[in-house]
Amino acid sequence: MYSPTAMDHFLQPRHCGVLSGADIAIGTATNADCGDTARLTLRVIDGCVAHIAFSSQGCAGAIAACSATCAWLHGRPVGAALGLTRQTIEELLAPWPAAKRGCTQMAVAAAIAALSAAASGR
Amino acid sequence: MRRIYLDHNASSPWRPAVAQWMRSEQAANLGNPSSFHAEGRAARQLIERARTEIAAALGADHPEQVLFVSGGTEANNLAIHAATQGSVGRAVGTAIEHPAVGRPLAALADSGWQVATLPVDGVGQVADWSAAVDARLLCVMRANNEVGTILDVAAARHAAPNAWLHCDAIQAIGKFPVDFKALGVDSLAVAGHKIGAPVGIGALLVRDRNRVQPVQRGGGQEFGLRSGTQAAALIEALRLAVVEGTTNLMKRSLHIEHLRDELEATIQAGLADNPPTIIGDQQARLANTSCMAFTGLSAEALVMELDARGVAVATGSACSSGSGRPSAVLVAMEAPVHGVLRLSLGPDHQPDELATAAAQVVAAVRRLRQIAAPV
Repeated sequence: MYSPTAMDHFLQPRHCGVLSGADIAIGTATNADCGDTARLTLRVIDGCVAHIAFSSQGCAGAIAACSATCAWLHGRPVGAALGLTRQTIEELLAPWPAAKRGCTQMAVAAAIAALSAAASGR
Repeated sequence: MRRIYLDHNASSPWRPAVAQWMRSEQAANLGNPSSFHAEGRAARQLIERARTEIAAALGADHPEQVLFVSGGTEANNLAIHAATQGSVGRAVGTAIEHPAVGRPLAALADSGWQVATLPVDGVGQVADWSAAVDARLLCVMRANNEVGTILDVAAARHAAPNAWLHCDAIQAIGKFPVDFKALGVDSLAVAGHKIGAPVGIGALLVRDRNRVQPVQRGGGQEFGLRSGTQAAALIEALRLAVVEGTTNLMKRSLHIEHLRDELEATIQAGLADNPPTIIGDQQARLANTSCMAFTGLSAEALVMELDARGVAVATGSACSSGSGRPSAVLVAMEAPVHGVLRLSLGPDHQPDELATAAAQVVAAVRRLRQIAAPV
């Protein structure tokens, strides 16, 4: 049901972990359908996402989506990153199961929350 | 990597005798059992021998009480149809019946039947049979497919002495004694692929086949109750699996129970800081079945992780595991519904194989917990 790319992100997730420090922005999201959770922490340096990490209590799709989201965000300017959509991550992991759209939605929601926090200086 | 298959409650690989038979020249060259020629007669003889031996193995009085069907779902549907066609009344089933029973039961409401569910307690047992007292049809599985709990069919019969009592024994056969007559049931469902026969064959045992009306009509096979050319090769495979599965059952069951208990103990010891919860009736549980809840994890992620590590397990009933809905069985038991794995053993495991499986479960749980809460 998952593509080889998605399975690779699940089995060898990129940026799994947690960042700490006063300059860290945090974003969290929950998949209302199943209760899975995602938490992204990132550090912006010179307007770009310099460091990023995620944790997720979720299914294989949630973990793969968070991993792919972090990989996509890493190094991008915050302004451009704020344009991230679910479809972008689903294209990276394609073919993405329709039943797992909640996973990509959750990962992107956590990312946007973290980016928004970083952009507003919170 | 040698894979370890721990999903025998979903489907169990062909037993060696079954595989040998299915690959034989005789199996490949059987005629239509309704034909008069030698090839047809050979098929017919196999069917009638199977009917006789399966009846004996499962405690039926007469071979004619055994009807061959395509599998467990058909057996359950045919039984419910037989019990209810042409009448109305109250139909009752336990809350943990397989969908192959639960859905045809629910559909009876469209025909004017009053349909009710018997709640179960935290281990999957029916604590109060009073709702079944006035049932015309009562459905009680012998053993649950997800948690392994063995239900008290005798209590069901006592509660509703006049009901058509149907027993889905699909998970119990080959794992726990099943005696059709002693259970006092009116019908009993059997599925081949749960005991090492191919998918596509099953049986319905009926106490009084004169009470059965056919669902599918045609050539009049199976005493006119289930038309369609009998799958003689598959019926012979079912005979081989049932006879093997019911021979020396208690000795084999004790051995498998020991292996299952070791598997559970090893996993719990390996995760002593946050051990899984074992779900099901610890006093009356199928020897091969272990249902475990791992706090804070996704069952789907665990299954995928273990699959990549060479271990095949299930999230619960394979029929619904792709649905994303919580298991109706676990909901009915008010048991944990997240992070629940079902490990179901087969008859031939070696201790070292299960030690490897336990180690992989521990490693998979630790990795996913690290992703969920990195330190």
